[in-house]
Amino acid sequence: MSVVTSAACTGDRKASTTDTLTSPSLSPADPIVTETFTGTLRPNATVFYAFTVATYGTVNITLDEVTGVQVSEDVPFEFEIGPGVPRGTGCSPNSVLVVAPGEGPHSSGVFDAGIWCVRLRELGNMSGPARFRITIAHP
Amino acid sequence: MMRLLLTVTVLLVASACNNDAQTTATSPSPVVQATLQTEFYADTLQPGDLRFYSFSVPSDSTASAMLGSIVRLDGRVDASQRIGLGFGYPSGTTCTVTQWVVTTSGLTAQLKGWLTKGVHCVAIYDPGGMTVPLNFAVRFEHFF
Repeated sequence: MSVVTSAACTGDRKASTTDTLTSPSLSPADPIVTETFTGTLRPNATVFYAFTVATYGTVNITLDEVTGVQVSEDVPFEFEIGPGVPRGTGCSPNSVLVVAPGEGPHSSGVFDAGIWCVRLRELGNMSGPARFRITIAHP
Repeated sequence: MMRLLLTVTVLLVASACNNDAQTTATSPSPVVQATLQTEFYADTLQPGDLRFYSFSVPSDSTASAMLGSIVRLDGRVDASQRIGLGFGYPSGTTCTVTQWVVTTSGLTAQLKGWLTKGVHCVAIYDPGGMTVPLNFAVRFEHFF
């Protein structure tokens, strides 16, 4: 709308070099902060962790490992993970993925500045509690 | 909506083309249709613990919270028990409290605060001195 205004007035007022309008950069910032979320995950339970993105940019989330877990061989060693927004007593994910722990990132996306969260859910495959580690890299 | 947008555009162009002293065009402020929302949060607070509930506000606005009841697990009302009630922001696995009050339960808002646009949390915590678990109920109001 400002561009329209400027163009309509060039006949009435001499444009100066200081009238140049610059658009905000839309390039997402790279992740520069790494947070580690560790804890104990129980069967069928969910856990979440809130983090602050300082500026519009890329967020990478990796489920590094789940250890001490008892899983029978006929069920997949997978967990549900997803980024979202803290809501109520939990984290409301925008999307979820079912992933196996290991090298990532398992989830990568561009986020606005603000407070976000990552939620980890056990899918009912474990027979007991396990330790987990999630890495969140963000601007 | 399109007609309104066109009208605003024409008015802005007309305003910006005025060759009087006022040469600065100002953009209209975005109108946020905020609605006051009342939410309730009830849970059990353990000694030394903090419990929290997250919510979002669309713009800078006021909020209030009322600690309506504190009840022992055996059902006895504990009117003299003081616990912490605060507003803050979710951080890690907790709520980092930035505005708070230590209060007994009551039927008027004990905490009134100013929240910036974004995600916040209301926290209930043991300020020190709790010896037994307590059931609590909080009513809080914020714009959404």
